Parts: sequence; C-alpha cells; structure tokens
Amino acid sequence: MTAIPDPSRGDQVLARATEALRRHTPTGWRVVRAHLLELVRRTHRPSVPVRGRHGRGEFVVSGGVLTTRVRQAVERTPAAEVTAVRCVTGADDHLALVTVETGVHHGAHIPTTAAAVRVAVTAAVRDVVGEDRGVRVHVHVVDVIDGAGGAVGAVGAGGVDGPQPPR
Amino acid sequence: MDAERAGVPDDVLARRAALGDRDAFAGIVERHGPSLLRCAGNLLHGPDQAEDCVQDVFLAAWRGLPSFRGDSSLRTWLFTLTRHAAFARLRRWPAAGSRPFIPVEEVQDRLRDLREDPERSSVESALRQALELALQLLPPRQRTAWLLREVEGLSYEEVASVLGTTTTAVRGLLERSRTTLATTLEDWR
Repeated sequence: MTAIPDPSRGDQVLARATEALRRHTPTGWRVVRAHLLELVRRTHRPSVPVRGRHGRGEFVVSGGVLTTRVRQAVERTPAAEVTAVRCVTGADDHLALVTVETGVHHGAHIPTTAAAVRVAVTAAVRDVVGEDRGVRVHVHVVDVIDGAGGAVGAVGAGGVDGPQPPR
Repeated sequence: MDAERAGVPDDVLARRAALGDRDAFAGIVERHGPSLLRCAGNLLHGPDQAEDCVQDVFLAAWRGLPSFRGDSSLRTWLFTLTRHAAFARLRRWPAAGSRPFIPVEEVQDRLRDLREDPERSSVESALRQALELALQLLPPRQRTAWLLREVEGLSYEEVASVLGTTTTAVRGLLERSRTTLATTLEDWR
C-alpha cells in the first residue's frame, strides 16, 4: 500500500523551521558586533573643512567636528534636542552661518528654549573655530517632541536669528 | 543593548547618529545587526562572506546617515543596503569562477543526513539547518523576499522597497519560494 502524500505536511514543517530560524541569533554575532563598533569608532565621515582661528594663527577643522560639538552643546540645554545642523562656509572656508534645527520638549516655552539653544550653539561655535568673525547662528524650531526624542507634533518652523549677543 | 537606548525609537537613533553620536549608532548596530547578519548569512555562503557584507553595510550606513532622509524606515534602509552589498558579492562570483553551485540532489542528500543524524543536538536546531539548506535552492531574489517577509517580518511594501519592485511581484516571489521550500521539507520527520 502506498502512503498518500499529505500536501500540508511540507507547510507544517516549513512553519516550524521558520519559527526556529526567527529565534536564532547567528553564531559569531558578538564578535562581529565588537569589530563593527571598533571600525565605526575609527571611521571618519567626509565633511567640509571649516577654517578657525586661535592665538597663533588659523587652523582647519572638520565640519563633522563642529556638528558634533553643536549637538553636544544643545544636549545640555534643557527641553531641546537638535535634529539637524547645517554649516555654510564662505571664501577660504570661513564659517558664515550655522543653522540648527531643534525639537522642543512638549510643554516647554518655545521662545525661551530657542534662545537658550542659540546661546549654547554660539558658545560651541566660538569654542571650536575661535574668535567670532560675524558667524551667524540661526535656530529653527521645527518640532515638538516628547522626552525620548519622538515627535509629538510639528510646529510651524520658527526662527530665532539675529546678531550675536554681546560678550 | 544599553538600557538608556533600548526604548529610543529608530528614527531618533538615526537622527542622533547622523549628527555624529557614536553611542546612538552603536544602538542601531545592536538592534539591527543580528537580523542583517542572519539575512546576509542566508544570501551568501559562509560566515566570513556574511560578516564582511554586514561590516560593509554598517560602514555605508555610518557614512550615509547624514543624508538619510527617512523616506523609508531605518530598518528598511538597512536591509536595502544589505541586499545591495550581498547581491554585489553574488555577482562577483561568476567572474571569479567560484560561485558555489548547489544541485538539488546535494541538498536532498544533506537534508537526509541531517534528518537521520542521531547526534543532532536538538530538533529545533536540525529543523533550522534543514531550512537553511533548502533556502540555497532559491534564486537570490526569491530567497531575499522570503527571508524579509517570513523571518524578519517586513511588510509587502517594505520588501518591495528593499528589492526595488512592486508588491505584486513580491507576492509572486513569495508564492514560488514557499512552494519550493515546503516541497523540499515535506519528507522531514
């Protein structure tokens, strides 16, 4: 007597095998992960050069370094999180404009927060490229976010711009 | 994953990483790395190939995040990078004359060996290995579609985005891959 093939048999086995594959963490992942993180730590992104100045003359810094320092400065500002940083350079790579897009935490006073961000960014820019030579800082509030950075709702983009505050 | 990063949404991690936050990028690696490695491992041959592929993917992601616009989800974008990197490797093989050729008979022999191995560590492990063998019978696009949908849980639209095709074509790829896999595994006990 010949066994009658069961067409659903393969589907049942496939379902069980699929479930097993979903649960499986590939062998060697921990080693790969360590290599990856080390590789990324050593890998620099290409970015525009920005010319700075210190007491002994001029120097060039990566735009990526400036972006990172601006982000870190805004992170220390209560109720704000930077969502984008754009740097515009003019002749000879001198920094002309830094535009910082930020989200403001739900419930925070937007003008106060934007002003605080502007102060923080201005200080960070000065810290990276040295003496101010008319670098404009533009803060753009583009979003209202919860504490974890997720969007609560976009706001009409509002800018805080103008001349540098007196130092 | 670091407890602080565990609950942070993908788009927030991507935004922070785009701004040079390496801790946020480490969160992305930890969250998505195992899935990408599993996918690459089943598209390519051998753990070395898969690991190199995933390494390329994350390097491309690190460099490309500043221009990532969020038109697709971070996960879909990462799988798209993985698909490109894996397919590029597959295309290299014929030129090098070393593309592995897996005949149906060989897969069936290896499945039988696996099924009858009294030493097999567990039913689940043997089943998974059997499926990984059967997957080798699928052409790369079918295999990719099936892995993304059935193992990684992407939607039809996301799979279509990764493969650069339509949802109708994805349904066709999935139907053919399911039939092949179920037929290959139906003798399993």
